[in-house]
Amino acid sequence: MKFFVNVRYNTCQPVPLEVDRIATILTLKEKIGTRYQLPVDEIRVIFQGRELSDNATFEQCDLGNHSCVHAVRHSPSVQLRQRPLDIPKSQGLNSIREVITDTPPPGGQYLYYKPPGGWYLHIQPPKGLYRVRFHVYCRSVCHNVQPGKLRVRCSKCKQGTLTVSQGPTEWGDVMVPGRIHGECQSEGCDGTVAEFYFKCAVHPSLEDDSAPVLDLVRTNSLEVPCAACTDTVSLVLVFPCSAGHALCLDCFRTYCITKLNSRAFTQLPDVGYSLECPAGCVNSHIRNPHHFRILGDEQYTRYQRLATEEYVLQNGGVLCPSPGCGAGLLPEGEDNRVVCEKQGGFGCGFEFCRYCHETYHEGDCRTSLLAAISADSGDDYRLDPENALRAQWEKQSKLTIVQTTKACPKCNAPTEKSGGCMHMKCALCCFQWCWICCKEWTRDCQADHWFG
Amino acid sequence: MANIATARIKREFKEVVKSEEVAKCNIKLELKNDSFTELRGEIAGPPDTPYEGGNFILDIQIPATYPFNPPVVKFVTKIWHPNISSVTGAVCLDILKDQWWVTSVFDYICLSFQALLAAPEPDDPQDAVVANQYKESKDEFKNTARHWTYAYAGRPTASAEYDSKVEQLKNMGFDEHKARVALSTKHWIVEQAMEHILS
Repeated sequence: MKFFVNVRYNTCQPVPLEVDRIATILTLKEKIGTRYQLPVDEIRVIFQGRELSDNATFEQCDLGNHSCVHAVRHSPSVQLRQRPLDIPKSQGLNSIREVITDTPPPGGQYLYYKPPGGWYLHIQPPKGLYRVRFHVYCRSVCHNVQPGKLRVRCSKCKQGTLTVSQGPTEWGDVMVPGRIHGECQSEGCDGTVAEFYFKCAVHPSLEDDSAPVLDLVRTNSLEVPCAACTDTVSLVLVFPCSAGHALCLDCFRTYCITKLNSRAFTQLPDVGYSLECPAGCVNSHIRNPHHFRILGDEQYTRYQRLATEEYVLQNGGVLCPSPGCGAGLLPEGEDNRVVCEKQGGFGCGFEFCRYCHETYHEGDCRTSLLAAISADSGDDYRLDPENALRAQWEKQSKLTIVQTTKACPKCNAPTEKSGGCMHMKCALCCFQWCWICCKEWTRDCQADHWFG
Repeated sequence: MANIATARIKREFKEVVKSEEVAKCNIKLELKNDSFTELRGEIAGPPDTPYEGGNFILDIQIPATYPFNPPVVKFVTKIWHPNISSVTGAVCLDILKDQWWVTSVFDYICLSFQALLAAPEPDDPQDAVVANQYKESKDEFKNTARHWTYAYAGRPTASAEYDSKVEQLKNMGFDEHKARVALSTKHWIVEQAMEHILS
């Protein structure tokens, strides 16, 4: 069967690249390199906000057929911090030890499904029917959270012919590779290590059918009410905090979208782009970002894009500001001139200032922007009235932005103040600053002009 | 999105109404409309404070993203307090900003507001004028706050001296509230208050 990975390098449609299913990220980079005529060492592959290392396989990174990753371009002389991040190490499953059975749920009696055009419909199961313990996100057929089946195979020959010497007793046994051993019964195979994977229990098996397991999604056998809407439903997401705060999946989705809207996710070096427990518990971040697939395809795509942007920004990079481009660039040095190099269809050719994201200029950003707006650029546009109109439109937009916003003193993000006090917190870089002084917020600001 | 907010408010509202702790602290909560997006809170001034005997009305706005974002709360009743703006009624409380969690509930908010009335924090002021007065002359602050509680929050007794000074300025044609603000700001010296209004 053909195996594709969709690569997105900007806000345009992703490009499908055919690769070998058992190949590594390095092979993918080579494909990207050939396609865009880029040196392989200038490419970074980002998935769920973390960089994938060269020697990881698609399988180790949980990348199924037609998964979407982001590519960003890195200038060679800047050394990135090395992040050995092939596999999420700890799955954050505190003290939960669930007995694993291989019994499939009773035929046809599923506890929840997605009605056409709607979100989840929860059906309260009769008592005693809490048999489904594993949940997966089925990305091939159902595009939804579904009951999952645990499968075991030989890590060497990939056949389901391995007899384990000891059954798994906790999540770590199935999620951390190499913990459970056994003996492969296939002829000519001397495999001794068990490999676990999950598949969707709802539709008939397909050839390539593994589905990411959602270890925080639990059947609500304790009948815990959702921490947000307080309804008791059959399926909850339990955060990895000591209190084990639970949200129903509808509330989880709303919680994530609310936080995405205000860019309040956290970029964690060992996990990626993630969220903490909504009750503010310590050490409660979701450590398996596949849970964000619950948001649905559209919002998950948005999550992936914001995660990549956050990765680029946190590593000192910039996003190409040209409309429709948005390519991630990691330029070297402190020079404020950045070029989104047009090379084999990767970049758009726009030359811009690293700090104000406007067309490249010399000198102070704000002065040159005002000069650019006030300059009469009529001659160029007289030839094409449509162009002239569009230019007028953009000029007006820029003027409005300059008039109604102040730039964040740290990252220059144009900021509008719609109400509240003078104490500003940048939505992009989290810098706390004073609207009056345009500097870092101090106690003096609080005493002299907190509001008014 | 709004469904979650409505379901949650309905349930919280029911619990606040029957909660004994809430009733004991003289806190009331009522709906302003049928859509559960605006609520009206009422808290009694805590005993042994300048706010004793007064009832303070709170305006509570529920965002569509509740409970993932906090409600917006402000005082409708005018109040003289270092952490509450005497102009807009705005309050700067961390539990309604960074310390807001999905698990926060209304009775907790109302109780926190009552606690704030009992224990002002002049180092985190919302009203600089009140905060300075609180730090420099505690007695003047207490008398002023007590007078505002009488004038706006229904406290039965008044300070005859302050009342007559407000009356004096009122008879000269000044607006009553403006006169009270000016006197409160200028240590209840009538001449200075007049200058303050005219400047």
